[in-house]
Amino acid sequence: MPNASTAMAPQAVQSMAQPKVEFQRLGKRFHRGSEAVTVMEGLDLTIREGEFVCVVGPSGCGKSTLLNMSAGLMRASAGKVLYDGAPVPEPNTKVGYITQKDNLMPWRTVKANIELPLQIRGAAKAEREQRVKEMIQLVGLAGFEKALPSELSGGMRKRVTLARTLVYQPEVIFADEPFGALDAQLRAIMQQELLRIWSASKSTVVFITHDISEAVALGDRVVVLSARPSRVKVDVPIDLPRPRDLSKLRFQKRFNELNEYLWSVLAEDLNAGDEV
Amino acid sequence: MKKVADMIDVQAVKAPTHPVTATSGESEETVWLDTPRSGRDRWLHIGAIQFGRLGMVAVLLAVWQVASGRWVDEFWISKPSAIWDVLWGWISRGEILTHLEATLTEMALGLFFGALGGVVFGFVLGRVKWLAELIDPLVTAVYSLPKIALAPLFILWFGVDLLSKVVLTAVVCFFLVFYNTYAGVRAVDDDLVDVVRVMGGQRSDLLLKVVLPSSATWIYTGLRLAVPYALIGAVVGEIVASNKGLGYLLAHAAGTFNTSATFAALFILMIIATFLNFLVDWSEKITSRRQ
Repeated sequence: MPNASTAMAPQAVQSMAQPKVEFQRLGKRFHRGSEAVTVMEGLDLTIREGEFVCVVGPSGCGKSTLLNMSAGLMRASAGKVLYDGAPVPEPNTKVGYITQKDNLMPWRTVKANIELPLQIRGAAKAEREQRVKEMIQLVGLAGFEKALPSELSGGMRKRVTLARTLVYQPEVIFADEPFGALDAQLRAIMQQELLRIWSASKSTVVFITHDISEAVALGDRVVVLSARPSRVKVDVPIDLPRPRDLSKLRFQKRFNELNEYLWSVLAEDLNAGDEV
Repeated sequence: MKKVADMIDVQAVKAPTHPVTATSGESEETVWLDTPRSGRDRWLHIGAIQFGRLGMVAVLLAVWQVASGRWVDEFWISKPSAIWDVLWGWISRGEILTHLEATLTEMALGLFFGALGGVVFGFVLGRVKWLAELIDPLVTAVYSLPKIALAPLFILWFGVDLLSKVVLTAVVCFFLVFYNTYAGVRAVDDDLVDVVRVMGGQRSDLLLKVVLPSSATWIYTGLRLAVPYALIGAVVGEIVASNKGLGYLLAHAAGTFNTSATFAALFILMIIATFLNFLVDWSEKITSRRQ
């Protein structure tokens, strides 16, 4: 149901920036044995350059599928995914991809893990050293260069993943519930870090989460997906001023209004999502 | 290849996931950990254990020596002094070197080619799923065959010299390394592969930077298992038909009812096997420290 005209809902703001990623009438169907499950149908969404877009939705609505298709790791069953106006390459090497899992190479040290994308892209040794050093500083891992992922805490591993993604300066960073596995305190710290890094790099971020307050706190826009088969239910601009101090955000009236509004939109679909 | 995977799990249990102390050092290590001893006490303790072990062997040999010819016919059990005479005869005449060289060469070559084939084949089947599916029954059937039963065939094909034993050893080692490599390649985390693909990794990057390092522990486990089996392959090949090597020495001695020489040959095999185990444990300590 097109719901964006509720009193609480802010009016969409037309951005002047170029469209970076476009999903047009996107559909995805999975075959599980003999039965087919339609995860997504007729999903339209445009992500513009430099935007921080958060995507929320009931579980099983294909949020991760959306990212996999954007990264060119999975094909759409219907519709199109455009990147810079052209069909998305397979895989899309201009983007960075952070998943819930760390996906670090367990046999590589922190430094070697962060260096990996630069090695693959054939950067010169001196440049690699320099960039890796900067990244380690940026994510606050100085002193842990020689540690193996197994010797790090969950939060530190997440920082390594972040550094490894940022080190090759991807145009768009796709993050699939990157902080989902962290405890509340650590998550708050990582969220603030991510905002700091994003505002410094000005890359485009697509951030998938099931946590509405996280979406509101971080995003320029929050896109709510419906239950399966999913499409965009509402697309809400977040008019909270930047830079944002996440620890104080929850005392702001506007933050709570947006949270409440998004909750009410999402709640309609929560039960429906479980039935499928 | 479900059945194949089941078999591998059994071997994977032995994977060197944590540092395992060598069997010979275990007793003092555990005691030492439980009750911390000061430097001098610890050395005394280690000394006592070593002394006790030597004493145990000495008592065993003495009982054997006394029992032989007195309570048990010497024909069946020989006696330590006679065994030593045979051993010393082999050593002083330099005869033993020929046999040692033959067996060790067969082992080394068989292990090398078997392992090489196992790694390559394991890699290919691990990556090319349809091929694995296609030849799974064939591989399983050959694997199920006791490899030792192939010895007569190989001797028929390749003669009684070096080659037949190398081939037998290689076949025995091949399967151990192959199954472990295959399982290792199959166990590679697809998410890691995807991450590297999005980074811009080509096929070669995926192989060298993801698949190979992540299956390295598995391949290593296969190699570790293959080492003692290489000795079995070489010796059994020699027992079946040969004119030199430790297996030949053993078969010849038993065939001529020479109990002393039989025990002497077994003794040499025991020394070699112990040494190989030591080598494997040692390399395991080195690698587990690195991980």
